[in-house]
Formats: sequence, structure tokens, C-alpha cells
Amino acid sequence: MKTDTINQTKAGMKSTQLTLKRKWSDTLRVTLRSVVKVKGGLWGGIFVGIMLVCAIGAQWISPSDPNAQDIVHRFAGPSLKHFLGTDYLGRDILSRIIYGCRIAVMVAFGAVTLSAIVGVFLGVMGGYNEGKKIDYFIIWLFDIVRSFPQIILALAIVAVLGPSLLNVVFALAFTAFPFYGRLARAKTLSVKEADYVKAAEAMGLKRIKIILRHITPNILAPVIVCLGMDMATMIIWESGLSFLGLGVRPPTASWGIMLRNGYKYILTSPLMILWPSVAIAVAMVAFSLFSEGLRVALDPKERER
Amino acid sequence: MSEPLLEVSQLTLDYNLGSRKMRALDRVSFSLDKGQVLGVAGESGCGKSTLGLAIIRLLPKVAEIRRGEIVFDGRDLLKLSEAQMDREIRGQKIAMIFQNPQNALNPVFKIETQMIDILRVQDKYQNPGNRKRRQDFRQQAIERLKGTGIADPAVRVSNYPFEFSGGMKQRVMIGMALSSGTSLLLADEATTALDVTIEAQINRLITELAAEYGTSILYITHNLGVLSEMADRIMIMYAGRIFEMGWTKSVLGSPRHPYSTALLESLPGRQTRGKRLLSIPGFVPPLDRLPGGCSFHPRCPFAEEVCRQEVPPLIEVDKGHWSACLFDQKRGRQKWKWI
Repeated sequence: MKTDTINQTKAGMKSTQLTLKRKWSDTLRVTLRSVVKVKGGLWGGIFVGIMLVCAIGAQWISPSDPNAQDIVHRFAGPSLKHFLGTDYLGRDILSRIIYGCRIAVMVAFGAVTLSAIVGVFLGVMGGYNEGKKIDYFIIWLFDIVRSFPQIILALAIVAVLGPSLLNVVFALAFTAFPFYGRLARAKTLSVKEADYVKAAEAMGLKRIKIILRHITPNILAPVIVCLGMDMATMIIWESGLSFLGLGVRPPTASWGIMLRNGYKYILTSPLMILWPSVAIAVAMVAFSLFSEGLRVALDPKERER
Repeated sequence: MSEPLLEVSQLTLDYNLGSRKMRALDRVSFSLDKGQVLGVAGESGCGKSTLGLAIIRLLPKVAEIRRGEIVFDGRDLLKLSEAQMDREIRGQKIAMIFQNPQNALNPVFKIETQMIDILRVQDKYQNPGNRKRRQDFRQQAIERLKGTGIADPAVRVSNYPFEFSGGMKQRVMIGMALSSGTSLLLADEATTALDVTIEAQINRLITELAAEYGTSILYITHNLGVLSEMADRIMIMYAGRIFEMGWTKSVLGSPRHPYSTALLESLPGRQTRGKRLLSIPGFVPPLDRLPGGCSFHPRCPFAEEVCRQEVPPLIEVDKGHWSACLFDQKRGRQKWKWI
């Protein structure tokens, strides 16, 4: 009898310990669940999800070829065949918006990721070596880039390199990395004082290992939030560059190019410029709400409310 | 026994804070023999922790070592390069455990991940060329945990730090820090943050492991009671200087310096039952405004004019018992009681 209960408690202990083990997918689920709990986080999440689906599955979702011209039915209003109407070449606006979504997400995601990787790397290096020459050099680099207005710098880079998808990603990443760098550096300054960093140093762990193992994971939360906010900004800038003819090349469907085309016909067929504007606005709001939810979800103090 | 492992001589260290210069260590000299436990005691801000950090060379950037040397195993640690320190000293020959075990482990990784990192480093230099697999290190980590008395180490090793209590975290730290190659352990208030029962357990663990590996210990603490049990020798520090140093029995039994006497008098004990405990008037002076002469004179009831003028040297007052007071204070213990 007694051994039975002991065995039972042993089994019970084992199961509780098993439940303590968490997979990263569980962590993701928990985080997403707290994101949607935040006011607006749910809507942000839904629209971000829709955008991602559109971006990935554009060729299956869009009702027709975004570049198929139908000159006879140009400037058509919304109809069953063309839900959002057609543009000046008779192309289906809905399809173009869905394909434009792909460009927007690609550029935004690419630029944000690239700038975050470079920025975090430099920021952590600077912060960890605070006060040394390399730190001053890195701050100096950040300040140089930051001293230009961002959009002007992006324009200049694209103008020099020539307009193309990759160059736009590079230009936008180049203008944004100092912000991640400064964020990462500031956070590093506080994390590197933590006892576990001291302990790791006292135990002779290599500096690079300390940076990768002990510092970087502990500064990522604000960076991830910043990523979300920046996605929104990058979408705007991509549209802006495309609008000015310095983004992706037509006839590729991009929201900026659609604005540029619709702009000429703003008085005669305002719907042509309305739809891409709505798409940009929705994307902006969605990413902002989503990242706000993410901010709360990643902050244990806020999460408990 | 009498072979010195660590010899610190005339170590003088400043903290440069803008225009203010703080002398955190002032001509500190002592030696520590192999296998010996040296207790360092004193109020907060006396340079105890600075001394520990100086030995392992992890001082903050504002610290500047003015002069002196730290000879460890026949080599001056202050002359080694950072890379040499990392490769041969830190985590290899000298280990350090810190005050607050709650923050001593990175919250985002499992115990096993963090232990394997350290074990890999230790192994790399202890037997180079002999590549071990991750599983071997994991096994080694489990054995280390077992050695520190953690129950069910095979399961616990894959837990996260938040699933461990403070005492257990400190056990993990000790298990990580102490290897068979460690010849000096710097314990910087290693048990201050723990409750008394756990403190006793951890101290026993440290002593046992140290005895097993033949490790010397520099045990920094506020707790003279702990030192009376653990330490072979005791060093009392005040405002960056050594005030008294000697065998545990003689320092605690017949203290010669008024400061040591006062520290002992302020402990509750059988003789003081029902009476008010002594508290030393005043506070430790800020290190950038040390009083001239003996830095303790403003708080010392025995201070005379000469104490304001002369810095008392550390002199041997008894066999192996050093004290830095201009007067021989055998009568000190009596007098303090009546203040």
C-alpha cells in the first residue's frame, strides 16, 4: 500500500516534470495568445495573417493574372468579374493588390531583417566593448547614417545603385540599422552587468560565446517589437520609393506603382488610387497593432494585467 | 601546508570616477597557502569584493591598479594578457562564485546548456586534442550536479534556472565553477542571499569539495560566525586596508585591533544576553574622503592625537597575528563594552 502511493507520487512527479518541458512552438503559441488578448492585437494579427497568406499564395488566391491587360474594360468600376475594378490598362486591381502585397512584405521583411541583424550585431559589439575604440567607431558609424534624413538617404542609395527589388531592400536596411544598433547597444549595457555575465566571465567563457549565449538572447525582446513597428514603416517607404519610380520596376505590381499610375487619373477614376491607399493604410495599422500586442506580450510586467 | 599559493603584495587600487579618486585597496599584502581557507571580513564598502575581482582581473573599467603584484602559482597575474587569463586562469585555476545566485544563471537557457558551455571550456584546456561529444559533457554535468547534492540530477539538468531555488542555483554555480583543476576559489559573499539552513549546507558543500580537490578558498563575508567555523585564517578589512590578520582562533579569541573587537562585540552571544548590543558609531567613510592617519580614528574611542597623524603599519603582534593599530589593544575588548 505504502509503496503504491510512493510509486504514484513518483509517477506524478515525472508527469509534472514532463509538462515543465516546453517546445518552442508552445512558447510561440503562448506569445500569440497573449498578443490577441491585447486590445486591437487580434485585429492586427488577423490582418497581418491575411497579408502573409496573400504574399505567400498570391498566384493561387488572386482571381486573375495581375499583368493581363484588357484594354476594352479599362477604368471599369467594381463588378463580379473585377471586384475592385480595373486600372488604365484594364488590369484587375484586386489581383494587383494581392501581388503588391507580396512585394510589400518581401521588401519590408527583407529590409527589417537585414537591418536588425546588422544593427544588433554592431550594437552588441559596441555595448559589450563600452568605452573602447571599437565602441566609439560603431557609435560614430550610427551617427553618420542617422544624420541623414532616412528617406533622402534611401533615395540616394537607390538612385546610385539603380532601382531593383534587392537594391530597395538594401537601401531601406541601410537607413534603418543604426536604430536597431542603438537599441541593442543600450540594452546590452544593462544586460552585461548581470551576474550571469560576470559569472560566465569568471569561468573563462570566450567573449564571443558570452555575447551569443548570454547577451544577445536577453536583448531580443525589444528588438522583436521594434521589428514589428518597422515593418509598417518599411511598407510605407517601399511604396514611397516605388511611387517615385525608384522602387521595383513596372509592370511588377507594387502598391507604390499602383498609386503612381492612379495618380494621373485621380479626377476621372478615383477608385484606382483609392484601393492601394486603403491597402497601405490597412497594412500600416495592422502591423502597428500587432507589434503593440507583441510588446505587451513580451513584457512580463504588462502581460499580467 | 606552508607552500604559498597566492601572494598579494602591496596591492593598491583606485577607482577613477571623473574627478574623484577612490582608493579602494591600499597596500594590501597577504598570502594564502595551498588548501587553506582565508576569511575576509569587514563592513560594506571596505574593498573586500574589489580584492576578489582584482585577483581574477574582472574589475570594472574605472578601476586602476596603481602598484603591487598578485603572484599566483609563481606567476604575477597582473602581467598576464587577457587571453592568457581566459585560457589558463579564469575557470581553470581560479573559480569565483558570486553573491546573488538568483541572477547568476542566464534565465533563457537550460542548466545543461550553460553547464556544458563551461565544461567544454574547462575540458579544452585540461586535455587538449581529446574531443568529447555533447553527450559526454551532459553526463559530466549530471555528475557535477550529483556531486553538489542536487536530487535527481538527470532530470534536473534539463530544467530552466527558474525551476531551481536559490540554494540549488548556488549549488549549480559551485558545480560549474569547481573542477579538479581549481586551486583557488573566490567566494564573494556566496551565501549572503540564502537563508541560514541553506547557508550552512552550502558552506559545508564548499568546504567538502575544496578539501576533495585541494582547493584554497578566499571566503569573503560579513558573517564572522561562519568564518569561525570555516576559516583557517581571518583577515579584517576596513576602508581598503587590512586591519588585522591572523589565525582564526587568535583573531576571534583575542583580537588586537579595536575595530575587530568592535565587530565581535556587535555579535549577539551568551554573555551579552539581555544587554544592548554594541554598534560602532558612525559609518565607513566614503573612499574619496578618507580621514588622515588611521582611517578608523573618527569612530574609535581609543583614538589619540597620534592616530590623526600617522598611518599605523601592519605589525606582527603575536606569532602569525598582525594588527594595524598604534596601540596594542589587548584591553580593547573590556573598554568597548562600557561605551
